[in-house]
Amino acid sequence: MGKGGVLGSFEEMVMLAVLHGGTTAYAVSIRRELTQRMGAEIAMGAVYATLDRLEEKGLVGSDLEKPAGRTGRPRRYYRVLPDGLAALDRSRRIRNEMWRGLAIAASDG
Amino acid sequence: MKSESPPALARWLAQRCLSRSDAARLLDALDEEYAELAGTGASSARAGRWYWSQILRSIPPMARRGRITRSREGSAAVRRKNGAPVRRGLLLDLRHLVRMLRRTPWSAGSAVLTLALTLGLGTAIFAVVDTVLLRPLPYADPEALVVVGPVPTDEPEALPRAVRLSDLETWRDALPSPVRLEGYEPSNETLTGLGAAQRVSVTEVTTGFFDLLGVVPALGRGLGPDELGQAVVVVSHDFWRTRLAADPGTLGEPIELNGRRHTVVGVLPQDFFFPLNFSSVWRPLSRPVELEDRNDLTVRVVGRTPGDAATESMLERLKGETPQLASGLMLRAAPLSDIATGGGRLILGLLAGAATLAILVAFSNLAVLLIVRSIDRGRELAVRSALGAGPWETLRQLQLEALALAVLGIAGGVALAVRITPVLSRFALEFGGLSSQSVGVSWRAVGIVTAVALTLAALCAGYPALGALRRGAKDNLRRGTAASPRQLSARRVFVASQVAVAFVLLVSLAQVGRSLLNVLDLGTGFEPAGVLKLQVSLPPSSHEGSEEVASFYAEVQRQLDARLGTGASALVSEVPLTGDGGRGPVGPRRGEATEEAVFRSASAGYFELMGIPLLRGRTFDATDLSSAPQRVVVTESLARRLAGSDRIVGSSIWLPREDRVAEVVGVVGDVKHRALEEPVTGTVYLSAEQSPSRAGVVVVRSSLPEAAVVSTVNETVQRLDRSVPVYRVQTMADVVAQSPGVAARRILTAAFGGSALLAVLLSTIGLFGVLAHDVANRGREVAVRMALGATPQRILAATIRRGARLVAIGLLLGALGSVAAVRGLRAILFSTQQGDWASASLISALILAVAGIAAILPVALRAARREPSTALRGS
Repeated sequence: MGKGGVLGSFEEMVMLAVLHGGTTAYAVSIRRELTQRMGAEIAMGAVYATLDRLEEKGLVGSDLEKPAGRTGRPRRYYRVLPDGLAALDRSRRIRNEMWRGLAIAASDG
Repeated sequence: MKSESPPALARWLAQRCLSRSDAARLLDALDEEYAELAGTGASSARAGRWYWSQILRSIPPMARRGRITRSREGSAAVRRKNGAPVRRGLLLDLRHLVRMLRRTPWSAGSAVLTLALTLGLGTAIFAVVDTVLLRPLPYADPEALVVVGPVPTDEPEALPRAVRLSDLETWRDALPSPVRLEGYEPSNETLTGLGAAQRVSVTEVTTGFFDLLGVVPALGRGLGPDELGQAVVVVSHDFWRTRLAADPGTLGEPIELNGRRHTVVGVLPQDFFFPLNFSSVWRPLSRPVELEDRNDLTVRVVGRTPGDAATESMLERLKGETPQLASGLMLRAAPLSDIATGGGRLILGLLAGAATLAILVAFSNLAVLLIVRSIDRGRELAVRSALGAGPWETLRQLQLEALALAVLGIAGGVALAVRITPVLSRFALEFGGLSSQSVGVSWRAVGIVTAVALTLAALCAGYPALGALRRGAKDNLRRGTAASPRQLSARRVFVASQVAVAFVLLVSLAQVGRSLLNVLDLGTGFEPAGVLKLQVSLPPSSHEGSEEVASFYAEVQRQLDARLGTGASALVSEVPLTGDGGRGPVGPRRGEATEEAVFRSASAGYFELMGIPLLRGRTFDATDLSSAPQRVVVTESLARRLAGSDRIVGSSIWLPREDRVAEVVGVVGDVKHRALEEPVTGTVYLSAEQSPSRAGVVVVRSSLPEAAVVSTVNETVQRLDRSVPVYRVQTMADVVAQSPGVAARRILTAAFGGSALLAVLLSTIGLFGVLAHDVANRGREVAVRMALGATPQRILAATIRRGARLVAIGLLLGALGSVAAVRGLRAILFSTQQGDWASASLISALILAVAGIAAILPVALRAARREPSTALRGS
């Protein structure tokens, strides 16, 4: 896990995007989710590289499936593994701990 | 859904830079989004932009990611994961390239430096030669121009002589229309009214002269057909710039020549020059009034003919029209371009040969370095092909490396050429005594060298790779990095032959340089060292009769004798090498003008002061007064022509211009009037007392400083007549340096020197590169030796021996080659003494030995200082 066991912030974003995608999170939808929620055009290559790394760390898993009612290449669907959920939770706790007692007028959560 | 397809180039780029599987999934995803984007009605330009931005931003993280994976899991794992052989993308190639260059900086640096120097220095040499020596004549269709006139039958290659104006007119009437003839006649006149009085070179021309050349004035107009004898002039661009302040308003303004007002009607183009006469002022031929005078007026004839056949038939025709042509003379039509280049063509060939040799050294250098590098990559190639790299990928990698070196070298070379060409050309032009002109980079030469370098890079990189692949991986792995004995010896032959070429060039340079010195020493016919010339010109308004002119100059001479010492100064109408104006006919008997000679009037003591040798009889002395019978001194070549050699002293010759017979009192050596390399033209020296010239040159040989001499002469002349200008002060050495042949020869010497310098530098670099590479690759051997007890001194000695052997072989080959080169050069250049070769060889060998030491020593020291453990680890 990068940076002493703490998730990188982009890694965190990607995992959250996978969760938002539910059971049909694949690269294109993940990238779109990130682009919409982060308000910036995210590079597909960065998404793939991050997914690869997360998979390697055992935080994310994937399956190659032929999508129902669709011809063409099979898609690789991603899901967050239990270790990944734990890492996300830890990441949020650390962050909340760090924010405690700070009063910055932040509009986002 | 629209069937718009995403940008192909972007797709290609991703496929080049990423592994096949990465590229596939990236492109799949992007294509899907692209299709949707296009489907939502986004313009194809916007969708394209989006696609490009995605590709460009996606490649770096994915490539980085792929590399980490591979290095962590090993190539086999990558193969398994991707289901395809390792495919190194362009990006990785480049990365690899940088690493390779960093690992072997010396041989890579040598290759780059070789190319950069060759392009920089070599093309600068070409640019100078190109601009200065190969400058085409600035006329329309210059090849069709010929110079027509009589030449002696035993000298068919001589410059055609002048003919009478009446002959030219007869010829013109006789010739069919496409053939045209025009005449010109050079002279010198005094320009007044524009600052200090000055002598300028004036050429009188028939009015169709510029039309014939196809030259249109840059400003104003040329000469009109009815302007014969009119006081209008066309001036050179240089004259207009320096004397008329480049003011377009000077058109229509008067200038004064020999006291007569002339109107400036045109300015010639900047690049205009007439190789036979570098005049500042061009004027219509004076109109001869009397028929008698017409026969005395001579002109030189240039013509334009449509081809060789027409030239031949024209000559036949003219022969028929010139029955009065003296025996011993024949008509010749010499191509103007041949006369302009003179004997330079052969020497230019030599120079081109020298520069080509230097560039060949560069290419062989490059080839050796690249081949050496590729050979040593054998082991790596084997590993790569064992891991599944295809032959083409390996080849591509090698070629990319070679091309990168070539491109680096070319970039450096072009940068160098841009900087060095103006500097070098200024130096060459100054050394040649030519007026400064801008010389641009010779892009043609740059292009040729670049093309050859790139081809060579591709070939040299490919050749060893193919060999390695043919041998197969197992063999390569077993052999490791050692080159085969055959390859090693090929490398040595290359380096040794570079040394040999440098040697041959150095010895040839010595020969060419010596021929320059020979021309300077022997060719002038006088001793220029220590002589100063000062021009004096009597205005036409004062000193009207020739008696008065003579007494003025006699007084100048007397006072200078008193102040500078007797024999320290003398007077002459024109010094040698400043032009061959003042030609005229001369003959052995009255009514028989068979020869043409240059006429000069000289005072007593002139020949002695100038160091012109007296061969027979005597020179002028105090008895040759205007009251005495007319006496002349002639030069040896004229004496031989007129009367066989020794019988002429005491006999008489006929001077048609003065319509009298003169007694020859002495014979002196010939001098060159226009250029050192031109054939000798005979000279008739008249006595300054008997035939004074208004314009005179004071020549002084004195141990006083130049400034003191100038002020002495100035004071003397001014005291006698304040209106007489003293100007154009020059040492005779400068006069010689600025005469046409010398300038070209000096530039040739400079260019030859540049080529030789380049060859020496390159062979040093080559030697260094190959040795450095050798040592780097023998690291293991050296380490083992050291471990077995060899001292650093022994390693040092062994490395030096290896380098020295190469230099020695090169010198031996070079010595053999230079014998042949010198023999060839001797035939072409002026003869040189026997001792030349030996001394030149000795010096060349020394230079190359020093260069060799400079190349070998740092490498040897590095080898000796290396720790055995480092060396072993390195290999």
